[in-house]
Amino acid sequence: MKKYITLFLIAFMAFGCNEDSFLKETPLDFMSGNNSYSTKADYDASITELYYLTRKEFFGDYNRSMDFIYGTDLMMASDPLKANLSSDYNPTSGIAKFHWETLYLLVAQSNVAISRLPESNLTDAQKVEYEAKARFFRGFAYRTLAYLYGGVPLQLEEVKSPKTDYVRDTKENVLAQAIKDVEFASEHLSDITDVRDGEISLPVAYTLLSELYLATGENQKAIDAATKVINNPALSLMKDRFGSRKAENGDVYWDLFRINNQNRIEGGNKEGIWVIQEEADVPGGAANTSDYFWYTTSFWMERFCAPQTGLFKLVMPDGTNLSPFSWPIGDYTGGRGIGTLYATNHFYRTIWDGDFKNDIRNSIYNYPRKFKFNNPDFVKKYGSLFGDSIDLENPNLPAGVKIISGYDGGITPSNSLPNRFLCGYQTKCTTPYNHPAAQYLDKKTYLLSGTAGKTYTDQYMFRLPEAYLLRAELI
Amino acid sequence: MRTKFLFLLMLCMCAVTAFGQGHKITGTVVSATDSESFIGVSVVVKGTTNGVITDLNGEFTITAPANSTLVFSYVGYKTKEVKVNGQTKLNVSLDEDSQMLDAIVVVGYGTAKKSDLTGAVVSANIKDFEKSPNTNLMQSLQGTVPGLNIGQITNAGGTPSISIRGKNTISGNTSVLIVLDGIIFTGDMSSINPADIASVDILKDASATAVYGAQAANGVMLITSKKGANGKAKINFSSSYTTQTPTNNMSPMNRTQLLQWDKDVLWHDAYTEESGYTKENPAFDLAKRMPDAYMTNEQGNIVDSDYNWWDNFTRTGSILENKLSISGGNDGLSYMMSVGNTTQKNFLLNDDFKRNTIRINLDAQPRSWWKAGVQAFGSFSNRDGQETWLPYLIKQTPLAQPYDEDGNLISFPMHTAVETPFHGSMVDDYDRSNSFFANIYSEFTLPVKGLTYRFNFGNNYRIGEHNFASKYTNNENGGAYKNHSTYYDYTFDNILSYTNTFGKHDLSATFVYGATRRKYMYTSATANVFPRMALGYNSLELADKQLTSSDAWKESTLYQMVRANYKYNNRYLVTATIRRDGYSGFAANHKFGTFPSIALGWIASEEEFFKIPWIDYLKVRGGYGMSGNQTNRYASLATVASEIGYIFGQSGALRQELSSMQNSDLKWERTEGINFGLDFTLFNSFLTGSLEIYQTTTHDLLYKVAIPSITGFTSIQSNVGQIQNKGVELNLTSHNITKKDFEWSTTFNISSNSNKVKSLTGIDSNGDGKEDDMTASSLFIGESLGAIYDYKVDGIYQIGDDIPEGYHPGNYRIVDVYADGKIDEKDRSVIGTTDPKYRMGLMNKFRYKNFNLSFFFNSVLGGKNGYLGQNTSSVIPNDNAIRENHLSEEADLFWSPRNTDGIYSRSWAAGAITPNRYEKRDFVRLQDVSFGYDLPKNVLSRIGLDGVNIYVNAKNLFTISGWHGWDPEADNTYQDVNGNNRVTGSGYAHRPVMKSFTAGINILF
Repeated sequence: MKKYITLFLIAFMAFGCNEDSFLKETPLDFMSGNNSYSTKADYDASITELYYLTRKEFFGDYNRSMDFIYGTDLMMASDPLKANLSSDYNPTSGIAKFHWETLYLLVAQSNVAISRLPESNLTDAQKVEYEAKARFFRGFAYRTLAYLYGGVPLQLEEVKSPKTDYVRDTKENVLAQAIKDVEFASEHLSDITDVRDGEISLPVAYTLLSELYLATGENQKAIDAATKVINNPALSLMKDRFGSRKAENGDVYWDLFRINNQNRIEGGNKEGIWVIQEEADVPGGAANTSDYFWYTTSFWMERFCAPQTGLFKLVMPDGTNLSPFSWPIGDYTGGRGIGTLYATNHFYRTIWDGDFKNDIRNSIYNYPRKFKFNNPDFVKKYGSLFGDSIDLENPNLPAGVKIISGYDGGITPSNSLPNRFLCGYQTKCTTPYNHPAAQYLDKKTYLLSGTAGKTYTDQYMFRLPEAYLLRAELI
Repeated sequence: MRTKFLFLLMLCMCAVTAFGQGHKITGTVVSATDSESFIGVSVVVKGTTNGVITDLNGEFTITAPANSTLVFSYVGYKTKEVKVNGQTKLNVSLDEDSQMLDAIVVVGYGTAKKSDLTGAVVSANIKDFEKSPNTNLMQSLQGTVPGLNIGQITNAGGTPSISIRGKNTISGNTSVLIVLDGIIFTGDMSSINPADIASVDILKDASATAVYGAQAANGVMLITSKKGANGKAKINFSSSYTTQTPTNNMSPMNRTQLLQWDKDVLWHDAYTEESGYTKENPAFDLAKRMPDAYMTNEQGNIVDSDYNWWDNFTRTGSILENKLSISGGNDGLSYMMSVGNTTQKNFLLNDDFKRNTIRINLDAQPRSWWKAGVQAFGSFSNRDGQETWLPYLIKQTPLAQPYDEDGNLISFPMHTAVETPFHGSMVDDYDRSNSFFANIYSEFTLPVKGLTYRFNFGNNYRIGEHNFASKYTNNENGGAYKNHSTYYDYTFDNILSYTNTFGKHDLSATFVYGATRRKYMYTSATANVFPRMALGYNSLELADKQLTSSDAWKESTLYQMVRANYKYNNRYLVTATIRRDGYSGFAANHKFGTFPSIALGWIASEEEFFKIPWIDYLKVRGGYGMSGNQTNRYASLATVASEIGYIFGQSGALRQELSSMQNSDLKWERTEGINFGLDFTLFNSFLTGSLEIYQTTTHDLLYKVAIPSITGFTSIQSNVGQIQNKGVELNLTSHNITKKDFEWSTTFNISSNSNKVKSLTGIDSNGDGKEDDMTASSLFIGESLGAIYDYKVDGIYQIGDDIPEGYHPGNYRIVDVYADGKIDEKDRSVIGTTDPKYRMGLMNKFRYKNFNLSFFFNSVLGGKNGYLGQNTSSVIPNDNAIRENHLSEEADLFWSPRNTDGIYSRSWAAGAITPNRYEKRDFVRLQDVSFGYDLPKNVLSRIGLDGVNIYVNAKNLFTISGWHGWDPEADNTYQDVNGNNRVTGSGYAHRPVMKSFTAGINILF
């Protein structure tokens, strides 16, 4: 008997298993390329990817998002981002690599969506709709690549096997391809009144087209495209106070950059054409109150562009020195800035010449140059001597009082103003008295935590005044 | 019911009577060397399971047929067979087996006598380290087996790195395959109670590992747990207590030291130029250079604060271990039961580990043709509590205070992003892992002579629970999570074995058909921003922000293996195996792989013509084999990553990204190897040893080949290139003195491995006729995988040196390797390797009467440019350089005009290039010293005990090394300039290794 049992067991084990089905590999917690591009939900996710990559490129990386002002005539770069342009812009640097890879990823993910459309289960109308969306982003990516790198290789299909033999195309061809894609989008996208906050629409396509035609010298087409945007009845310049903080002291330009004020539906903003979405501490919102700067999804403009006031000190005649500021405070001193990108003289003074007092963008709300002391110890002891603030346009320090401000570049103390520790700055980089609750260490004093430094507002990619400016270039 | 019971009872009695028939024999067993009587020698009637073991006086009584043969066996002695021939009194002496030729070695899906081995298989000597405070079994293997490389551990309950011979993969799996009681074990070695383990056998060469095919390229370690033996129950209780301090005990600077450090950072201002920056500058006021308000008082002077952060977070470590086991057996059933309890508290506060283990091993023989049994254990590990992050602890300045005037913790005492260390440890952390293992086997003798069928059904189940709550995270708004994971695997092996002898021909064969399946599931619930934190992770729903996530995977393997062993005339040996492996993770076009091996052996000293008087035993072995390294599961598929990735207005939206390219041709790495070995006994058993020489070549390396990012991908997982490993291993034991009251033996081992990249992608893009290196991946043809590609540093520029433009006194001096008069990226070259050249171990054991002493040295050496580790630091005057503290020993090593011998750069301004410096990790360590005393038997027998051993042990007593930092040996991973992982020793920024003293007792009764 036992013989038969054993023989049966052996036979069972030797032949009882279907090898193919036992070894079939099915991923359990991720999708695979073969089953992810057929339904409307699949395509919504693919298009959302393109928004995600756009935000990552322009407003979602720690210092790479600053590359668009770093090295320009707007901003001085100082320690720890001390400019070393020859190494920063060399072909293997982080700057050259990040934007190249992110923009080509935007191209590639658009290509995947476009190439797989014919095989999908979408209706013909839906196929056109999603193709228009994907081609808008591809055009937008090639436009940016052309601006940053000139003539780049054109890849217009999904790449299914390793390909290495790329050669540069001409800048003209790259821009022409961008125009072709965006023109297609402009024929099939919905109008701005029919989309959700943050989505691309017809005026977004026309704004981009106007810019692209300007770049290729097709001036009349550029004028026409800009006009289409300007004449869109749903869009108009914001001229009166509006939004979440209209009751506070401020002006309409200030309102444009306050939390929740950028979107049409959410904030009643008629100027915003394409608004990049940020939301603190929710999945997909990018901004995060608890991450340090080495996590990069947030937009860190406050950190780079607002001054580091805590390192500014006043030295009394008896040698006592004290900072009048309890950095980091989420008020008009700029939150948790470190001021490593502070205004050049050109941006600080030259461009305001003649209209310094009246230009709304240079108002005390939008470009403060006078700082209220927020260190209670200082105010208690020296308030009678200094008043309650320091005006950088007219410091007027009592006799014998000197200033000292930290280190500049780590070598010599700097005592000329403005510098990275105290300078006028644009308040659109921060959210005075209005950081997310979780960002404060002490809500009463607006004391921010060490993880602050992010800008918590939605960001404009295209705003109506740009259409006016584009048209103004040509008329 | 009652009748059935009676019937059963009668059956049992019949069985007992059946065994009882025969001839009663008594006798004594002694050792041939010193005529001491032997306790615990197994005496078995040949061909049966009828057996006894000798008592305290070495005496035994057994009933056996008058014409039978008795087999006497004892570990470490040659097994002896004695024909009864009607005698009733048998006195037997056993000869020591210096080569352990009769020892049974586990070889995978079976066992073999050591004398029959043809491959490079080594049994580790774990017995000599039983007295060490090794909470992890792997620590007992450190340095003792040539070719087996075990790393140091720096945290409580940690498992050291384990590797066999050289590294043969770039990015594939590098783990040694661990097989526990016949079942592949993927769990954590820290879940195993070392006291439960009887033996550890290592399969090193491809001819031996080929039985495990596609998973065996990194070598195989076979661990076997203890079994019960027939005879009186043995009860063993042991207890030990250990104290621990770092091998190199260091602490950060105090106030006085830090202020001097600050002056040295600012040497250019703090000292006068005329004096060469060695005399104090009276105009310099350090207080004015203090970057933060809290550092100075209102008068502008530096505050008096001298807070000792270090002592709050460090302590004298300890380990308390208690272990109890009961083992025994009688006809038809043997058992081993154990419990173990370990409590370890390491040097850093909250670096704690507690483990409780239970084990039951049963072996039953219900019928003469049927055996069945189980090996089962449960292990419950507790790693509750979180230590604060050491680099932040070291950085805290004594000038800062932890609490404000109101007694509240200051979150950022240094006014930088460096959080207070108290936040890191004042958390509610529940971290448990529970492992369960059971292997059920059954073995049947089949009606063909020598043929048996066995199945193993092994089950591993693990549960991980990690719950955490801290009121300090999320900017002190609180955060908590519960992470839960489960893992289950089963292995079902069918093993058909055949063994028979035909005259001078010994033949055996093994056929295996088996399958495994592994499944993993993970759930995480995270909650952030709590209005009230009192309930912590037990009420996550109270938080404002709640996030959940989950993961899962599954993988399967399916395999067949055939092995044949043939021996002729006890001197010619052949072993051949072939294994076919299927793995779910292989790409569609390559689901199966086949791995063959063949090995030959010749016991030359058995030959009639072999007449060299000083050679007692000589065996020559040689083998060839192939084994594999699997791809990662899912590596060949095109992956679509998805998450909630954007938000429109207020509503989140799913995004999906095609994040990898499919590769249907992806296959396993193949490692082919040859091994040549010698086993010998010389000079009348004075010296025994073995020598191994090997070479392996690994093909089709799994590697992410870079492709232009224009494609949307930066790399594709592919098979490329070749790596070669060559090496020699030697193991020698000499029995220096063997007297009745005094014994001294020495064991020495040395191994050397060299590793070389033979080819990579095969592309020669610059057309120089040579294949291109992959510099961006730190891979160089003809160099080791551990090659270090960097600048060569030759000390530090001194004041008055001829310093090139862009450099300053105190900067590292970079060698112009390219010799073009410029210092730039061209001066980077392969300056050495992280691989050691030689590894050595030296054990000396002494016994004088009842006293035992052993000491073990371990050494790893790098040769000319080997075993280099990055050990670099540089400081220029900026805010953080003034604020941040350092270990005082490290601080003293920074260069300044007053410390021109300093090795780390401390300069007024950074040089155009700040290179990394490297130093040798070579060390010699007295790793283990044990001193024990066995209480005399005549004393013990009066109090009813069989044995008592009391001992003291010192581990890592001293280390000789030129390394700067905590410890040269502990591996720490860093990323080189190209982002590739490299290892270095434990520098000042890493973690300490413990030196420990233990006292313990073992009681046997």
